[in-house]
Amino acid sequence: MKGFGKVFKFEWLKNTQRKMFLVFLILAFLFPVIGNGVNYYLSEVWMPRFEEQTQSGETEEEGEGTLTLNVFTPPTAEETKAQLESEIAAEQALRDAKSPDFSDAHLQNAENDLAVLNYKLRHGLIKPEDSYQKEGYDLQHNDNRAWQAAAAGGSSTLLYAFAVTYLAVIVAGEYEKGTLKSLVIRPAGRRAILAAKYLNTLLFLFLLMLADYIGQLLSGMLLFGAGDPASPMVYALFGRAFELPLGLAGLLLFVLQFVSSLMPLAMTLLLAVLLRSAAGTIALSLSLALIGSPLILQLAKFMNGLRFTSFVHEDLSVYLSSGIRVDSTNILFSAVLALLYTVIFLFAASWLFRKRDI
Amino acid sequence: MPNDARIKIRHLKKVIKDRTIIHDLSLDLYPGEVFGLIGPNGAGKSTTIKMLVGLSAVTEGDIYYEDLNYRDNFVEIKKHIGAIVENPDLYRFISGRKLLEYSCCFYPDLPESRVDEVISLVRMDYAVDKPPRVYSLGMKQRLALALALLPEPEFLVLDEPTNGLDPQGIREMRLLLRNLAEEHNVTVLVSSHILGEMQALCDRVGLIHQGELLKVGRVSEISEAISGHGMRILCDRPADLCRYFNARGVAFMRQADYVRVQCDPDYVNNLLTELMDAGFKLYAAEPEHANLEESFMRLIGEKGGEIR
Repeated sequence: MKGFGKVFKFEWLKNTQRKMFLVFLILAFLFPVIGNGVNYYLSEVWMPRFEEQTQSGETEEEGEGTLTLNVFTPPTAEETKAQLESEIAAEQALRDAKSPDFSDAHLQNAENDLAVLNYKLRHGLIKPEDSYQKEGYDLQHNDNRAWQAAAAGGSSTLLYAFAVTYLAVIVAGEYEKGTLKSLVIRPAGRRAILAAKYLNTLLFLFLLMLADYIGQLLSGMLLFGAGDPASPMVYALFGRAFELPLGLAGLLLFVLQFVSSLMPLAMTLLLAVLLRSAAGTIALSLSLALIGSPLILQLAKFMNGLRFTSFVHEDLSVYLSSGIRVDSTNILFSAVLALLYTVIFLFAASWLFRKRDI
Repeated sequence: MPNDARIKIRHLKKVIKDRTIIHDLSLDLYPGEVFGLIGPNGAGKSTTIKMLVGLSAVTEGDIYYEDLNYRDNFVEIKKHIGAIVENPDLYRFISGRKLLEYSCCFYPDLPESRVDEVISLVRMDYAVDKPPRVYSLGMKQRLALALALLPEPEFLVLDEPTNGLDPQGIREMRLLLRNLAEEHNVTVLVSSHILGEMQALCDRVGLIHQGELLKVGRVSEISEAISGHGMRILCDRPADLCRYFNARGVAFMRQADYVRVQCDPDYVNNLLTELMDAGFKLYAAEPEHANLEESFMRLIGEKGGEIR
């Protein structure tokens, strides 16, 4: 890739001058701040008032038209453990019977959940009689809320949309405006030009995620307290639990979410070279991400062959958070396929970019 | 003309969707010359230029820069090329100066003063700190020229460079390009369909039509080869003179009080004697250099084309 360093530097200097660059960075910072502000109002202002009103209402005699709240009582750790063991036994029975109702994803998720629960019990992180729900439900009510929210990467879809827009504008938009010509006649190979644009976008996405992370953390700390980044978080992969300090877990999820963007952005790059239209690229890329991916994920539960499509492997962080979504997949399988698709998309985009006249 | 061509184009062919856009084009371009590629819209000028600067792939044939084949050494060769292709498309959000400074990334050996040099060369000092979105077409053209000149190119390719320039700008551009060729030994390739301008600017021209290079040579040679030698005669009875030529089958054209006639230089003396013997009182008889535009129109007329 002759001239890659030169064209990368030029692209970076040039693109940082775009209004879009600064606007997206500010938005990436502001969205989590606003989100935390709304959460703070709901949990610290609105909810106590609501609970106060509810309690005062309970003292009054119940009559016609009175609203009765059914308060949900979470199960204890012991009860959850029993439930998970029974789910695992049921799935294993279905598997042994070669039943079409068997779900490998369900089994793996239950095994991972049980491994996490057992780990916490074994290390005294919870007691059997404590109320316990699977990870994610009770994060809002403890001192580490700022760190946990930052680790959850709440604005990732929005940041992905910003990165797609940025990439579409600097590739397809430059086709449309004719400025790509002045770049191609400079002493750099076409492969280097395309690689520079792709890596510029990844660098921009990294900055967006960083702004989001900092916004999330700072506003969270300000509103909910500093918390303890060293407090333990327990995750499980392949049915084995492991512990990470909360701060490190956040960084790991940050990295996984960033790495997960490589493949969909490579597909956007291919679409930009193919369509040569910024609006078309943005519309198609976001449609595929927002509509196509969830649709394929649902269909993949019934059509086993779809687990080989790129859409199923777009987000590696699900394996550490919300769980496995499709049968017969795991983090390694997804990582290998995501890498393979990234290479295919980049190769196709590069071939097309070199082949076509400008 | 030096023997060693800087750019050698050999049997160049471009096919797009089964349609041949450029047919077997061969051409040599020399250091220190301004070469004009002339042709109507759609003749293949821009396609040829795009192949020379790497925007368009070559279907068949070869291009050499000082014996380096484009196919194997193109990134290296591009260090020596400056170009404006079609419109001066510029980033609207960066000032001219910043764009020039950023473009220096591609040429790490350039001295820091080079940006100011090219700004002053194209006389853009007054506007270079503004973004191109406020520029007139002429200013954009000047900035695009500054960008093309930035790497001190040895091969400068300009597609319709005077588009949008006022007469003063056109004159400055002409002087600048002549100076680059004569003083700095730059090979300048210019394309245009404004033939008068090319006649004033170029050392040699190539006439291209429907993808074929019809003629290559010095402007005067081409004009004379196509249109022949002309002479303008001012006499006491121009109408009678026209009838006289008509009766003898001599090609002529009435131009106000003058009559223009095709005449071989060796025959001028005989013709003038014959006219005086025929009783015409001659006030003036002057040679008329053939006009490139007329020659070109005549040539493509023979080929069944029209200029748009």
